[in-house]
Amino acid sequence: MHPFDFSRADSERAALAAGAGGGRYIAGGTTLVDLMRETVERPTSVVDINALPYRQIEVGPAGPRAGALVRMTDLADHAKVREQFPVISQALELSASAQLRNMASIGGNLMQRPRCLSYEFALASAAVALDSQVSVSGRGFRGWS
Amino acid sequence: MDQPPPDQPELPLTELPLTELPLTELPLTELPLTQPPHTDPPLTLNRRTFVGASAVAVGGQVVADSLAACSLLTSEPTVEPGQAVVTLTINGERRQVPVDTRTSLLDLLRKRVGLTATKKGCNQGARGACTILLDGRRVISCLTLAVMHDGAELTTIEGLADGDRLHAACAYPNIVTAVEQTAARA
Repeated sequence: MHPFDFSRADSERAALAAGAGGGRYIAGGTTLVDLMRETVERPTSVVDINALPYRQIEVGPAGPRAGALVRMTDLADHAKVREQFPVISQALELSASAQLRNMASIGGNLMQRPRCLSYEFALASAAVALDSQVSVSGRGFRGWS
Repeated sequence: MDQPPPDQPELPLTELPLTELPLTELPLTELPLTQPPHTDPPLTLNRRTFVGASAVAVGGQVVADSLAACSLLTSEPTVEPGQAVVTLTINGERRQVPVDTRTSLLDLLRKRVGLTATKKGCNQGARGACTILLDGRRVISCLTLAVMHDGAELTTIEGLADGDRLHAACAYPNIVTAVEQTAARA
């Protein structure tokens, strides 16, 4: 793993500034740490965004809404999600082991391809089936193609 | 296919030339308080030599950690770029550990603190041999950076043991922590 400076962002503004300066965001770390160890990713600055206020889950008439830092476990275990949108709970539980689901963030794993043959699903499949929307902040973002 | 010839003769453990083993890169008086740069073990080591060398290296690490603990009592550690000091409660004991920012929680436990019951299986998150409880939740300790968890509470297999009695003849971190987390929820 290449050396890097580590910092924590305590606000969205600070996080966006650090990201614009070349910092890589880390939340659960389950993918980034692995890729950094293999030197596929070689950031010189890593910014911990876990203090940002994106941990809430709401289930309203339009459906569930989850912050980017919600962990897979928490969304899958949410009583209303499990009752009203079981496809989300099932997709998450078929994505990774319990230990990884305790760590992995929704924002970082929306498009995560399962890396192990024991797991065969991804949250993106459920999100597409439910016609979900993704809200993103940040400079230079040009939307999904 | 023929096996390549061994690089060195197979010796029983008791006949290992201990004085020629790579003790540590530095003499004991110069042991670093912060983690040295990551280096891969030499590929020429066979398993038997590696086990012998590891035993000596672990001993060296214990001395290093003791020295680190002593110095922490007298002075605040200085933090260089790429270095950090994390404060953790590990198995109920509060510890301040200087680390390289690249250090995983697993390497902190095994190499810096000397708790080796948490195993390094694949170092990629697939096996779960490195599972620990982090603030009560079981996680893969090899896929998270120690520096991210300042102030956290960790429980390892050692912390779940009943004194010197482990849960089984061989304690599997992934299974034992799963039982423990489930029991704590109930």
